[in-house]
Amino acid sequence: MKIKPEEVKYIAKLAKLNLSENEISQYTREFDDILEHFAVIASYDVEKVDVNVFDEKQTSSLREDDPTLFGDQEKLYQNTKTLKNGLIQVPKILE
Amino acid sequence: MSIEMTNLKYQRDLWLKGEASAKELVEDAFRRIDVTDGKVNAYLHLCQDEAMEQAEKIDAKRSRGEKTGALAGVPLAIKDNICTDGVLTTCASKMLKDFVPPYDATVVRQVREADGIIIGKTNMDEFAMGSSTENSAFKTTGNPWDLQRVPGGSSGGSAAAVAAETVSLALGSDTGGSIRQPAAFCGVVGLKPTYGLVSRYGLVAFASSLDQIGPLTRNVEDSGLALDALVGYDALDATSLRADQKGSYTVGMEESLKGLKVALPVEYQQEGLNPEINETLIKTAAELKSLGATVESVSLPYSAAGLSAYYLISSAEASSNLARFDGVRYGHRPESFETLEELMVNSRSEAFGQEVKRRIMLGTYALSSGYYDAYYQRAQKLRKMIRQQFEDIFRQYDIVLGPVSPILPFVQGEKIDDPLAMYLGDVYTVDVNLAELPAISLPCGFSKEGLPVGMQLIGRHFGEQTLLRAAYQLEKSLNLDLRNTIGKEASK
Repeated sequence: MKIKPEEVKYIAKLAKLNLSENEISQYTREFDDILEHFAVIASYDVEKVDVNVFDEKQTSSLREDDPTLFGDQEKLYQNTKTLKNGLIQVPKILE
Repeated sequence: MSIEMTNLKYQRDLWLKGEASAKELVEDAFRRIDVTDGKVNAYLHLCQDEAMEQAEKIDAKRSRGEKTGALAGVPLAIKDNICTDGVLTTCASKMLKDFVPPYDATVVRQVREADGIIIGKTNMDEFAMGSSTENSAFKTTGNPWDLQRVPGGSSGGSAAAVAAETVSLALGSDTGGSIRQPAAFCGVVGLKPTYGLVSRYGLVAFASSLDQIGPLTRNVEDSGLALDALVGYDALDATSLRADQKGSYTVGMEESLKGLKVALPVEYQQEGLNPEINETLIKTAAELKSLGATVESVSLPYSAAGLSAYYLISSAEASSNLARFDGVRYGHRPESFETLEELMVNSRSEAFGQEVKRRIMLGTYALSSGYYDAYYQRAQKLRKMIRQQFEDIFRQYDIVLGPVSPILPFVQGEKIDDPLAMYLGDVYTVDVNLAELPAISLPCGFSKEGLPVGMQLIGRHFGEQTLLRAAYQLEKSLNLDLRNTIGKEASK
């Protein structure tokens, strides 16, 4: 076993997902198969590979950080479910 | 009026010559959808009113003698993970079932500026995670060649829309093969451009370092014409690059393939490759030789690690990208919640489908403390090696030939309960995304059962013109009949 149900529960918590017992046992089983397949990557010697060295050709494409106003402010919130006085309402976070 | 719809160029030329109005072309596209889409289910939403309005504007432009764009009058479809101002963009997820973007993706702006007419949004695997379009939360798309079979994925709706002859152009996105594999399953042409060539601004992110938008068309020339409209540096995408391309991607397509050096990796003909697909691969190599190209066997020793590296990196990026879906600013709002934590957890747990949850968790695991070095970082190092080995190959060869998928279009439901089996179907496509290369998938034959078989040609970074030339010559020489019964029905 590469992974245990407790680990799946813990990962779900990190990922902000609530899983049923059935889902936990299903994902445990599936991840076991998947991680077994992924084990192939351990067989390559990549000790000397430096992922922090970029090719000369690769350059960042940055633009000036110029703030601009979005034309229609209301449109920006058109997908928000609860809006009050132009602010998004969420449950109280401080007592 | 029924318009014989062969391809994008034909439609555009009809409009340019004044033999059809944009209104007539759009009406014909909706008539075709009426006839076929009850069976195919390629579309999630149609934009009939907006499309008619747009068509009238474009016709008016022509009558005033104004300059018009490269896609003038052409009805087209857009995958539902590409933002369209004022038109639902759901990513085929319950999470975004009512999401209406307040802006257009850059590619959508580009097709509008080119006077193309968006007629609808196409079905896909939820958040582009899948290879069969069965992970859509809303409907299952059928393959127009055999409706019981999947159209591939994740851009399955776009491929099926083109194969059913409802449109001559549909945009898709390719993170690990999501344009090329459905193109191969549906007998159409799919192009995954070099990473950075086409702007990702407004594409709902799955794995940002791998995602790329590209066209699905009925033939290679149309793929080049569509690419002309999509390329260009975009300041809104920090990974956008400036290509040196001068003029149209269709220029030079007629040139002979004499002297073209083609590499055929031995790793692309391994156990698990369907014998009929292997047969088509061998015939395709022979066809390229008969056109004057040389084909030689090469080895890509790191490609056996590609699939694992791809799933680790793409899932890690997905776990981060999809963290934005918390039910606060947009997306699914659960009915019951007391605390902010509950709002987020309930929103995500209720609205994400099984595969999306699977990938988020796999990615969270790969990035979590204690596993980062063994999985994520090792996968990144292998990605670098895969990129390097392609660079070495391209010092000696112009293109790499390979299959798109190891399997033929399969029956719906056959693999849905076996995620690993589904992932293994991506084995030949993912390396291209890891190495940020361009690749084109084109139909090269049929199975005994009459299902289309696609091959892919992989090129150097920004080598789209060579790819398109090779694909165009191959298409011309193979001269396959690529019309299916559904498409013919639509043309009646």
